[in-house]
Amino acid sequence: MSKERSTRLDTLENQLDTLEKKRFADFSLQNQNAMRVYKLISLVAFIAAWQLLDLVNGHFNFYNPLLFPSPLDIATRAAALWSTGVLQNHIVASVSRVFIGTLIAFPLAVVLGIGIARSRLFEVVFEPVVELIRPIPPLAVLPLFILWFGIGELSKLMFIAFAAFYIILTNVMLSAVNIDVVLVRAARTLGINGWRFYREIVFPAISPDLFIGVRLGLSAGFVMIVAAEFIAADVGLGYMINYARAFFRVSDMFVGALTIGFIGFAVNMVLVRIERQIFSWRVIDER
Amino acid sequence: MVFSRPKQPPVQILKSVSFNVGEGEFVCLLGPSGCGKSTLLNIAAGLLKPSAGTVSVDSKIVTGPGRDRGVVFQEYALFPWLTVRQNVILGAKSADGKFDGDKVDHFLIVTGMYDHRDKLPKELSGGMKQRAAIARTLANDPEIILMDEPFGALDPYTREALQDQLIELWSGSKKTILFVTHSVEEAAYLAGTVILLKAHPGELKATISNEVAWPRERASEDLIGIERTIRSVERT
Repeated sequence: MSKERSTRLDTLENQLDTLEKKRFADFSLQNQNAMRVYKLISLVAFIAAWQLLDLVNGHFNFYNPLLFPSPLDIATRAAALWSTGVLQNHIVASVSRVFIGTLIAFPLAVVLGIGIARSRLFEVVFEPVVELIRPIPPLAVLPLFILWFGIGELSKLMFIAFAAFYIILTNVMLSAVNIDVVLVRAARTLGINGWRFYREIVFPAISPDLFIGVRLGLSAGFVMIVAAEFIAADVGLGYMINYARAFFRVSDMFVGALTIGFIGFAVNMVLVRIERQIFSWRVIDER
Repeated sequence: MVFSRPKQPPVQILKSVSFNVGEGEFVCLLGPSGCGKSTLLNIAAGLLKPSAGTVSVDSKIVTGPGRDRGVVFQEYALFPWLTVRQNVILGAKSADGKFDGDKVDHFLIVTGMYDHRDKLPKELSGGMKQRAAIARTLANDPEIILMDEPFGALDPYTREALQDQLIELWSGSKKTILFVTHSVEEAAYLAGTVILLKAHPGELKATISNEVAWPRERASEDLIGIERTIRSVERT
């Protein structure tokens, strides 16, 4: 009897063992880690195919290689632009415009967002104007901003601020409206009033959504800055792309476009990481 | 108490309800859903303004929330971004932002939350959350504690443990407690006075006093007698 039982236990352990091994040797599409590797492979394969296309075209010439450079051409140009420091200059110019512009929008968006959401007086005074301007695409006011603020840095900063403002504002407003009523009641019964209520209850309650707002504002900024630099700039990745077009340097255009895309992606990824860290108190709703 | 609702006719939640609660008493508001017991508690807390009638504490009419009346909510209402201790500190803070750390620790100890003081609310079970919320309310040092079905969302074992803990805290501090519940058993076990309400609209039905001496024994003849009395009045 006991022997039979121990063999049964043995098989059970064997089964667990094989399952454990399977966990490491799981190459199926259900395994997240395996999926990551596969995705990387498909990206590499895509670039390799592109390079191969260029190689084939070298023999048969079915399209103009000047218009469609190979990955290697682009990488070579990127390295060249990097080594002279030109690329870095453009990156610093664009990135600092996006960050400073968003920073300008931040305090105004926070104060107005919380104010409109939590105070009837604020709502009645500011909401109509804010909603009147909201549907205007930022690009539509860019020429106006250039007339008002000149072709220097200020017009581009204000343009980014304008774009980021509405994104942060919307996030803050929605979040401040939806603060759990029970938390507000609890605060009131604990005697938390006035300025303390905003500092100790409202601000922390909305902070995760505020952070998301800033992240989305920055993302929009990276999209918008290129357009602004097309029109009025003498440095920046948008300027670089437009300038390269005038001189038919298609590889430079690719370098500029890929760089701005990569920076936007990287900034977003870093902020998502930070978000998970500092807002770990958030209850993730699993429903 | 009449509620006006958007795009719907106003509805009367409470009709003639009048009662007194003495200092240091433990009073349960008992009634079916729709009898307005939570509304009544929210009016007492100053979170709702009655369309008619008044609530007064020490002959002072209630016009809004105040530190003299602490509230414990069924949903715990802990601030999720603060640890248990920080939540209690928020209760202990005076208007100028000062607080007594020893007092905070004292209330963490008496509610049994001291060992969990550095946890976030999301790491706590329902019972622990409510104990933390009670510690926070006590740290605010109210004269009256208003409790809105505080143990309604807890499993029966946790509920009984928290009931006993509450009685211990109450008999130690002699605070006045107004406790809303829809459980006859809970009201019979906890209350010195049970205020029975009936629904649609909420109206006072009866006041039943419960003289059974502490410590009370669950399911004892005495308490079952009280439960019977409550139920027989409920049916009339």
